[in-house]
Amino acid sequence: MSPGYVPRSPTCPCAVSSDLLLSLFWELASLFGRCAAARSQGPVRFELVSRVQQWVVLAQAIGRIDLVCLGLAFLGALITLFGTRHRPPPLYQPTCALHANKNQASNGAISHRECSVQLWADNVYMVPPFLAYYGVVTNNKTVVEEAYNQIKWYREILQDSSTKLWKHMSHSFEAKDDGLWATGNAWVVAGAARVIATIQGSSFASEMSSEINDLKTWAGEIFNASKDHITKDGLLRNYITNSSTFEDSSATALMASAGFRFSTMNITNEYVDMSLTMLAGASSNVNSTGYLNKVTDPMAFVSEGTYSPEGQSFIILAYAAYNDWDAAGKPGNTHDKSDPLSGNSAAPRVFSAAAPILAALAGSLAYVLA
Amino acid sequence: MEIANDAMDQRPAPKNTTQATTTTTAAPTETTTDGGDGNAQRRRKRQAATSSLPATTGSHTTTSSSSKATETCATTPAQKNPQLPPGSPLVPAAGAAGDPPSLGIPVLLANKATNGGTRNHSTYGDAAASQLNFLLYHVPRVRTTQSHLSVRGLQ
Repeated sequence: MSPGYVPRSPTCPCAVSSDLLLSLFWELASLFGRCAAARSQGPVRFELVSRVQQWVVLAQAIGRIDLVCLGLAFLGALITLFGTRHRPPPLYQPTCALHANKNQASNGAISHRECSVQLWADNVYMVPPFLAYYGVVTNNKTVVEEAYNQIKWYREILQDSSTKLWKHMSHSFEAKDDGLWATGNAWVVAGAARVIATIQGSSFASEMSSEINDLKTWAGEIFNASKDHITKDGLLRNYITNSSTFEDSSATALMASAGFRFSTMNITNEYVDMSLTMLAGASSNVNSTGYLNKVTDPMAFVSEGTYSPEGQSFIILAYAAYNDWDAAGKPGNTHDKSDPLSGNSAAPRVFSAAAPILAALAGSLAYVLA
Repeated sequence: MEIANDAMDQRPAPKNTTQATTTTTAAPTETTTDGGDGNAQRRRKRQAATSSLPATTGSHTTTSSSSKATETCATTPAQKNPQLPPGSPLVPAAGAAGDPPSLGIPVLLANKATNGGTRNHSTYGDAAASQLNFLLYHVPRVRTTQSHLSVRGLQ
């Protein structure tokens, strides 16, 4: 902790929505293929700008997001980013050995907490993608490898040996949850997808193919273990294997988004089918005002909440991924050809492509009224 | 950009020690491989030689007199080791070391978008580097004994 560090309430909108913001940003700025295209400038830039505008509208969908956090300056920055010929000065390159404990045959997982050593599955979406991106931007393979190692080490400790699903947290005095939390598992597969996307889009892609393969395998463990526990409504339960816990459309949407990404990244189409089922299931819980209902309370992970900023962003992520998958020609589709979200999916289809738009409209209204 | 700026605005004011000029031995080597022109290459090298790298010593004397929360935290070798580069999270996060890095990618992009611009007395690149250092060198890690404890606790 640094001097002047003042712990702030976790209800600070920016703290709560930081994952969300990154989620939104991710769609624009990750290495999921669009950045590479955008660098070529030309008409692609206009497509990108229109996508940014879409996201600005969608950002308003999130009731608790402060629009200041994602405004027009952001749009301008992206135009600058992809239009500029100047490059910033190089970032600091770590010169020390990365691991103080590198000679130990041990696990070097970085704690999710500052005051104790505690691993949270959530971390896989938050830290390794930053490490990977930093490593790629600075052309520092060691930092990219650190992203991979962190996921490897987190898995060593958090994975449940019998189900292969991940526990939410390791033990610490700060918090406690041994459960196979759906959102935690969804964070992991989505985080792995982000790291894969970043490596794939970098100059390290070929030399790190075995790392990509491991990440694919580890995410696959979670997908496959979750598949059998999807309810007849097309949803994951808050604790995936515990049938007494409520159905959570929030985690379901995030896991679905990752399943589509694995397809659009040309990794595997194996999870398309379950992702269609899950997205259809989550969509059926988008209510008439555009809010995703039946969600985990983001401030109390064992409880069911009414609304969730995370859930809103997850359903948007899921539809963004679905749209890319759709545009790629629906690879691996075994559902209804013209409308994969209806047909033989487990859940009735209430909203499909209209859901994020409705969510955006409802969110705008909520924002204005607030 | 707004995301990055919001993060930057929440950063604690930088300490003087982080502005310390770096010695030539500590200057990062030019590793950028993207295809810039020769002038850009030279400019980058010049900036690399003069940019304010995090100081390798000094800042922890102020850390010891900072918040009481630091004193109650489990201390780690990294936190005690003045040899390691100082770092700080991008934004305060009530003890959640893993949350602020999720703002790191926007900050990295802002660094590029502004060509190494400054916000709240720090460049975006320095802020991202400081976040990286905080993660790598100051957040506690699982170690052998703790790993066994953690795993045993879970079974």
